Amino acid sequence: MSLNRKCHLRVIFLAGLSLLLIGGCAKTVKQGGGATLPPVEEVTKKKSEEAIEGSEMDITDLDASIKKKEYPGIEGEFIETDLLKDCYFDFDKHDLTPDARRILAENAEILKKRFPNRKIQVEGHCDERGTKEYNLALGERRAASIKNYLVSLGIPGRNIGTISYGEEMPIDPRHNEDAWAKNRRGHIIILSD
Amino acid sequence: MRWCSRIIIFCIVLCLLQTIAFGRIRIDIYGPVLVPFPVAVAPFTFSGGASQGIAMQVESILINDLEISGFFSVTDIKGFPPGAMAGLKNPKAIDLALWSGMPQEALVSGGITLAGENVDAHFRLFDLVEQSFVTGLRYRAPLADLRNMSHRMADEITFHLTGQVGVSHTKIAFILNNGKSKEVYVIDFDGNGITRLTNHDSICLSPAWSPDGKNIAYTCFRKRNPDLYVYNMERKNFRIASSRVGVNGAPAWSPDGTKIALMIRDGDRSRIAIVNSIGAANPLFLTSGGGNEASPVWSPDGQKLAFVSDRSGNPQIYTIGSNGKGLTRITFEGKYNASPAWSPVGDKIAFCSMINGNFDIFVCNPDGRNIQRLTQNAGNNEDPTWSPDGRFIAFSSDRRGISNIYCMNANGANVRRVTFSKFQETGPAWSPYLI
Amino acid sequence: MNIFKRTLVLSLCIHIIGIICSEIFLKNRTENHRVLYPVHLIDLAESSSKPVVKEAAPKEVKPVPPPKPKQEPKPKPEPKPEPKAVKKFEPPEPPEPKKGVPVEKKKEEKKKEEKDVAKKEIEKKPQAKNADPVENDAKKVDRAIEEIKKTLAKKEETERPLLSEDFVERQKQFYAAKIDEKIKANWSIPKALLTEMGVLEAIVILRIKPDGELDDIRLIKPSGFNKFDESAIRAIKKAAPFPHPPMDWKNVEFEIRFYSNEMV
Repeated sequence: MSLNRKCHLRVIFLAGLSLLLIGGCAKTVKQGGGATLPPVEEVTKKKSEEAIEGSEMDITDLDASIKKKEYPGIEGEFIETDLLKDCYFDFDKHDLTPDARRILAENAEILKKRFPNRKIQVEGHCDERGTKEYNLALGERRAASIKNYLVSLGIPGRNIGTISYGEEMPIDPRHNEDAWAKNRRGHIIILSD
Repeated sequence: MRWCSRIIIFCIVLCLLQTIAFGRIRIDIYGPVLVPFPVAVAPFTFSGGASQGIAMQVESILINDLEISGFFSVTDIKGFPPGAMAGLKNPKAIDLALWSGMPQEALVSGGITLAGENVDAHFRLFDLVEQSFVTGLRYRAPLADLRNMSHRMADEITFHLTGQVGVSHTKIAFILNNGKSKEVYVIDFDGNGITRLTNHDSICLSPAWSPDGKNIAYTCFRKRNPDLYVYNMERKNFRIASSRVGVNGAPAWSPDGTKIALMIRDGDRSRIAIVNSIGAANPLFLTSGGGNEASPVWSPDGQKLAFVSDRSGNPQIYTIGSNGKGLTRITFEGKYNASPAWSPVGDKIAFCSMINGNFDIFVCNPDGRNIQRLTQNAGNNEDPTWSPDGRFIAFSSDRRGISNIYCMNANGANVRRVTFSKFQETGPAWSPYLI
Repeated sequence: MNIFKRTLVLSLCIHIIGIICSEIFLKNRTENHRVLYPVHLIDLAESSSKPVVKEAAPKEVKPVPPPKPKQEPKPKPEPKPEPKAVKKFEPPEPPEPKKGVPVEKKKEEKKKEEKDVAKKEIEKKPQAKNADPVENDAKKVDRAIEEIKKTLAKKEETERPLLSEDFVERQKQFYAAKIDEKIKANWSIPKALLTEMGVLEAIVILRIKPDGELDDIRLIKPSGFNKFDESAIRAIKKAAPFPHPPMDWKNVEFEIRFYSNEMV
C-alpha cells in the first residue's frame, strides 16, 4: 500500500511540476517574444515534448542553451544551442583532428537525443589568412568533412545541409594565432522549419 | 658611243654621290633622359554661371590624372613664362612663341561653361615644340558627370601625346566592410568618386566586371547560400544569376561576355565550372581529378583559364584550356599561391603568394617562368587586378593596419593608395575601358 | 676605235670596282671609328675620381698643353675620313707630323691598352652614367671646348698652313660635338613609354643653315615605335638653333643615330 501511495504521490508531484514548468515557459516566451500567439504555442509545445523525451537531462540547462538567432544580413531564423560544440581545424586543412572527432561524436549524441529529425546546417569557417575565394572553397570542404563524419555516426544525411562562410564570419576579430585558431571552425545550427 | 657616254655619266653621278656622302657626319646619341613629358596646364576659365570652384575642380582632376598616369609632369601657372597667361583666355590670342626655350613640351588650356542643367567643358592641346595646335574637344554632361568629363579629357590628352590609351576614366570595384555588412563599391582610378552599388546589408564577395563594363557579378550570402548575383550599372538593379546549393563563387566573365567561370559545389568540394552568363543551367566542369578549386580567370583570348587548386596538397596555380584540356601547374615555389590575374595583353599572370606568413604579389609568364616579386615588407598584399592597359596593378594591402586598396605600376614601382576610408576594403577588380 | 672602246670600258669597270671597294673600305673605316669612340671616354674616366665619363674631359685636356683637338668627350668621327684619319684621331701629344708618325703608332697601341683597362673599369660601374646630371655635363663640356679652342687658336697661328686639311676635320669634330651635346641635353622621353620596348634605333638626317637654324630634318630609319622617333625629332627641334657652322662648310649633313639604351 505504502508503495502504491508513494507512486501516486510521485505522479502527482511530476504532473504538478510539469504544469508549473509549462506555465513558466509560456510566461517567459510571452515576455520575450512579443504579442504574436502562434510561435509561443509552438515553442512551448516543442519544449514540453523535448522535456519529456530528454527526461535524463537537466531541464533548466536545456532551456538556457536554446536560442533563436539570426545572422545579420542573412535571411531566415535558426536555433543555436551551446550544447553543440564547435570543432576546430588546422591551417589550410579540412580533415578532422582527433579532438574534432570527439567533439563531433558528442554533438551527434545530442543531435540524436534532442533534435532527432531536425534539419541542421553545418557551417565551414576559415581564419582571415589566405585569399577570400580560396577560403570559401576551403570552408565548403570543411563543412563536407563534418557532414560526412556525422553521417557515419548515424545522423541521416538528408537532414544535414552545409554552407561555407569562408573567412567572412570570424568569431574572434583579432589578428593573431589565438584568434585564427578559434576562427578555423565547424559550427552546427538547427534550422527553423 | 652612246652606251659609253651613259656609263661615263653614271660614273660622274656616282662620284658626286660619293662626295656628298663624304660630307655626312655621323653622331650617335645614346640613352634619352627618362623623365615624364613636361606639360603645362593653364588655369581653366569659367563663364556662364560656372564658378571658379568647378573650373578648379576640373583642372585639378585633370592634372592629377596626368601625373598619376606616369607619362607627364605637370607645371601650373607658377612655371609659366611671363606673359603667357594673357593670351590664354582667348584661344586665338595664345602666343606659343612665348614658350620657346621653356622646358614644357605641351600646353593645355580649357574652360567651363554652365549651360542649363549641363556643364560644357572644353580643352585645347598645343604642341610647344612644333608650335602648333594639336586638338581641342568640348564635352557636355550633367554636373554630376564633371569628374567623368575631366577623366576623359585626361585620356584624350594622354592619347595625343603618348599614343597610349589612358585609364583615367576606368574604375575599380571592391568590397567595403563597414563593420555591419560587406557591400560592393566602385571608385575612380584616381581614388575619388567612391560609390556604393549594393544595399543587401549582407556579405558580398568577389566583384567581377563584365567585359562591356555594364555589369558586375559578385557572390552574396543574403539567402543563406553563397549565390551569384549580377548588378547592372545602367539599370542600377541586380539579379540572381546562379543559386545552386553550395558555393557559387569567384565569378569571372569570359572575354566575349557570354560565359562566366565560377566555383561551384561538386559533391564534397568546390570546382571550376563554366556557366552561361544569362542563366546558370548545365555547368561545364573543366577539370577531372580531386582537390578544391577556386579563383578562375580567363586569358584575354578566352582560350585558357588560370585557377587555384589544392590537388597537390596546398593551393597552387594551374592553367587549363577552356575546353578542359591541357591542365598545367605553373607555380611550384611556396605552399600558398592564389588569386591569379591574367594581364590584358596575355603575357603575364599576377598572383599572390604566402611567404613567412604574409602575402605578397608576384608576376610570372603564363607558363610559370620568370617570376618577379612586386611587393615586399609591407603587410599582406593580395588580390592583384590589372588595369585594362596592363600598366598598373591594383591590390588590397593591410600595410596600414586595415586593408585598403592600392595601385602600383606593373613592375611594382610607384605604390599609390586608392581608397581612404576607415573601413576594411578588399577584393579590388579593375574595370575594362568604360564607354 | 675598238681598242679605245675596250680600254675605256675596262677603265670604267676598274673605276666602278674601285669605287665599290672604296665604299666598302670606307664603310669599314666608319665601323672602326665606332669601335674607337669608347677610347676617349675611357681615358677620361681613368683620370677622374668619379666614374662619370664626360666630367673628366677637361682634366685630360689640361695636362697636354698643345693638344690636337681630338680629346672631345665624345668626338664624332667623320664617316669617310681619309686613310690618315685613324692616326690623326688618336694623337694625344702635340704632333709634329713630319717626324711623329712612327712614335704616334706606338702611342696608339699604348692607348689601346689603356682603353682596355679603362673599359673594364667602366664595366664595373655601369650605373654611373645614368646618374650624371645633364647640365653639369654640358658646362664641363663647354669648358672643355673652350680649352680646346684656346689651344687650337694658338695652333692656328703656327700650324694652319701646314695642317689645313686636318684642321677642317677637327673643326668638324668640334662642331659635331656641340650638336651632339645640345641634342642630347634636349632629348627625353617618359620612361613609361619605353618599358619592355627593347633597344630602339632611329636615324635622322639633319641639315643646318649657315646661320645655325634648322634647314631640314629627315627620319631615314624609323625605330618602329613612332613616339621614340618623335622624341628624337623633338630633341633636335628643341636644341635648335645651333651654333654657326664653320664658314667654308657646304653640303654637310649630320646623320644622327638615336639609341634608347645607354652606351655599352
